[in-house]
Parts: sequence; C-alpha cells; structure tokens
Amino acid sequence: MHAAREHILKRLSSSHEPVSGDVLAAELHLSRAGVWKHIQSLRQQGAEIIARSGQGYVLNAEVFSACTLKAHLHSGVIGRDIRILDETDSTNRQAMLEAEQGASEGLVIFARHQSAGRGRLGRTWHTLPEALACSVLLRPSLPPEKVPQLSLLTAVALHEALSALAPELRIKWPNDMLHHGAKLAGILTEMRAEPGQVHAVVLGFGINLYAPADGWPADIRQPVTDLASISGTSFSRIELAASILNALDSWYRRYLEEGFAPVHKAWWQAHAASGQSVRVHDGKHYIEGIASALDEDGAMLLQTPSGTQRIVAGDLELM
Amino acid sequence: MDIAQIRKLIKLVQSSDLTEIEVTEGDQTVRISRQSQAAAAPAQQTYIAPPTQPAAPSPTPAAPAAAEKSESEHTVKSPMVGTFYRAPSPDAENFVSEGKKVKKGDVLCIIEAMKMMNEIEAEYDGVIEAILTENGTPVEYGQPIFIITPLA
Repeated sequence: MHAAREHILKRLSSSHEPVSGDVLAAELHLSRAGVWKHIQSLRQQGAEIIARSGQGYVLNAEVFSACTLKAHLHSGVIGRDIRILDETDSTNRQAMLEAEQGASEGLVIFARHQSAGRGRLGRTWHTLPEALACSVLLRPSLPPEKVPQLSLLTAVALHEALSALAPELRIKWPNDMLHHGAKLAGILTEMRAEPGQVHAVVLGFGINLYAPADGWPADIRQPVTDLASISGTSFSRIELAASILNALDSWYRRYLEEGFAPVHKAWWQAHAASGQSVRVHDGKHYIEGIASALDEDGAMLLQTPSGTQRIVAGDLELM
Repeated sequence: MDIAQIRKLIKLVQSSDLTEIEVTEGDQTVRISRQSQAAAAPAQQTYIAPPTQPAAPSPTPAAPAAAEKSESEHTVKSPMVGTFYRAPSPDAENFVSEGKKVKKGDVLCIIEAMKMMNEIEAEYDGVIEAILTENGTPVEYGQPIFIITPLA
C-alpha cells in the first residue's frame, strides 16, 4: 500500500482521539488537501474514516477490511495479501484453489459467512454469524513429513494470541482450543505434497467470538464456548485477527529458523492433558494411557500398560 | 485380427517377461495384459486375465519378478507418516476403488497426521490396479499405497 495511506491508517487506528488533518499533513509533509485525497482513496478501499468537524479524522476500527487489518500487521510474510470474502463455502477450500492457481505464500482469506466450514474427517464446522473464519496459505520448503508440525504451530500461535482475552485457554492434542473443557476454536490444516516436495499448506481456523443469539446449533455434541463470554469485555475483531496473524507470522519465522523445539516447548506447556490420563479414539478403538510426551514430529506419546504408543491421528479425550 | 493371432500374442506374453503388449493392425488394436482388470478400449477385442482366482490351487503365475518391477514404477507412495483414509468422511463413498479409471488430479485418498490432512492426487491418467492398505490404518513414509497403471 502507498506509504502515506499506511501511515494514516496506523495513526488513526492507534489513536483513541480524532487526529486532525493538520497533524497528518505535517507528519506526511503534505498539504491538507493531499491528506484528504489519501483519506478518500482509503475510503474507497473500504476503510470507514469519519471526519469530525473541528477535531479531525477517526477510523471506525470495526470495519473489517483488508487495509485496516494490514495497518495492524507487522511486516511479515503472513498477510502480504489479504482477501475478505462476504460468503464462501470454506476458506480452506478457497485458499487451496488460490494455491493451485499460483497464489504466493502469505495469502490470508477471511470469510464473513462460511456455508461449508469443515472439521476433521468431513465433520461440519458451524461458522456462526459472529465468528472468525480464516485460512492462511504457506509454501514452506520443508520435507512433507515435517509439515504436520505446522498444525501444532497453529495451535501455539492461536493460544498465544487468544490468551490475552482468555488466560485459561488450553490446547488439546493436536490443536483444539479449549476453555475449561469447552471448545472456543478449531483448527484444520491441509497440505498438498508428493514425496519430497510440498506444494501448498493451508492453516485454517475458526473462532467463536460471540454466542449465537438463538442458541448454539443442536447438532454440536461437545461443550462450546465463545470469546465474549470468556473475556467478559468487548474486543476489536480487527485487533484480534491482527494479533493472531502476527503470532502466526512470528512463530512461523521462528520455526523456519530454529526448528520445532520452541514450538514443542510452548505447545507442551499449553497442553490441557500433559502428564494426565487420556483416551484416544482412532476411528475404531479407544486407546487409554497417560499423555506422557509430545514426539519430535508432533505425535502424542501415550504410556499404556502394554508400552508406549504413538498417536498420529485420532480424537483425544481427557479423563 | 483373428483369434489365432490373438492366441499367439497371449502365448508370447505368457512365455516372456512382458506384463502387457499392445498390437495395432489397421484400425484394430489388441492389448494383452497380465494384470487383472487392465483397461482396454471397450469396443475392441481384448484378453483380460480373470479377476478372480480359481478356488483350486493353481500354479504360481509366471514371472512374478517382472510384475513387481512394473508395479514399482506405477506405485503411489505415501509422502509422510500418517493414517490412511479412502473416503473424505466415515459415511462418504470411497474416493476410488480397484479397477476404476482415474484422471490426473483426482483425489485418491487422504493421509492424516496431527490433523494435517494431505489429499493425495493421481499424477497421471490411469487405472487403479491395487489398493495396498486398509482404510483407517497407519502408513509409513514412502510406503506404497496404490498401484496405478497408466492409460496410454
């Protein structure tokens, strides 16, 4: 984005008071009319900037647009390109489609409404009107067998960003976000690869922001919760989205530089069941044991009467 | 092409290391394949090995080494450790089954590890010759999971 427009957005979004055209003009070495032109162009891009007479410009931060969101992002890889869709079937599907058409790493897709949000093994993810649905496209030059670590990395980043509003949030293996046992957010990650080469990785997540006014959908079989009920305060959707993308970006960078060890450590500390009794349903049977450690590749190690079992896929329940 | 000629071709395949031979004469094409359910243009005369084994003990099929060699060339291998799924969800239909034709880009299966879902796609047009692992079971890195015979 144009540097002057970026400056205006950052300045307005970080100020609780109106910022006068004179101040902006001085900061940017522009005339007031020049500032006004940039404000007009930002408005055309979707930023809701209000001019209060005699006081200055105010940004309505709750307008969820790509440019207001970008103004809150550190300059990293994730969020270089942001698309906000009014409605889509699934942000993960859209991100994968974009990947097939050559989209670059760092593309972020948000959707206000998601008609076919998905969970593990084709399960439905209900994207409520007051929810955040997002997918991030990455193209890491990693061997495919390492990529599942990014699934746990996504949990660590979400945990870090959401903990500001939900301090007691825990991760449940591999990447569910639980608050006192109730699900606040879900993550579904997907990849396209062949032996030796990763084509695309999509990190998708959905966060319940507010409880639906007419109640949770009846077919949700597990306890659910929402960020507003947990935090008891109001929060800015833009700031929340930005803090998640910033956390993802910095964890991803750290992972590429330092490997899985820092993610592993943060994950284990945030895990709800570290050292506790759990059972895992692998689609056929339950395996019971103590969640004794996280393996190097992100697999859960269960201590069972018949020895240590490595869990690579399944539903983990706390007992 | 008459039956005698086709018989000769079958004998040729049986007595050699070949797993498949295709002969075109004028506008007629015949393909003889040692593998079961090999694809063939439907309107043309073709010998297809019987898909079911006889109940009585039968002699070992000729040249298993050659068959293996051809299989390894057309094997789809797992790019990672994970759990193998033949369908997008437990209630859904399988992506593919043995004997079915697939097009390049068709999804063959999903391999899951740590809730990272990896859809494996066909890399060429072909026929699913064999599915080498069971739904819901673990696969190792590099483990063969499908044999797909390319369609010429």
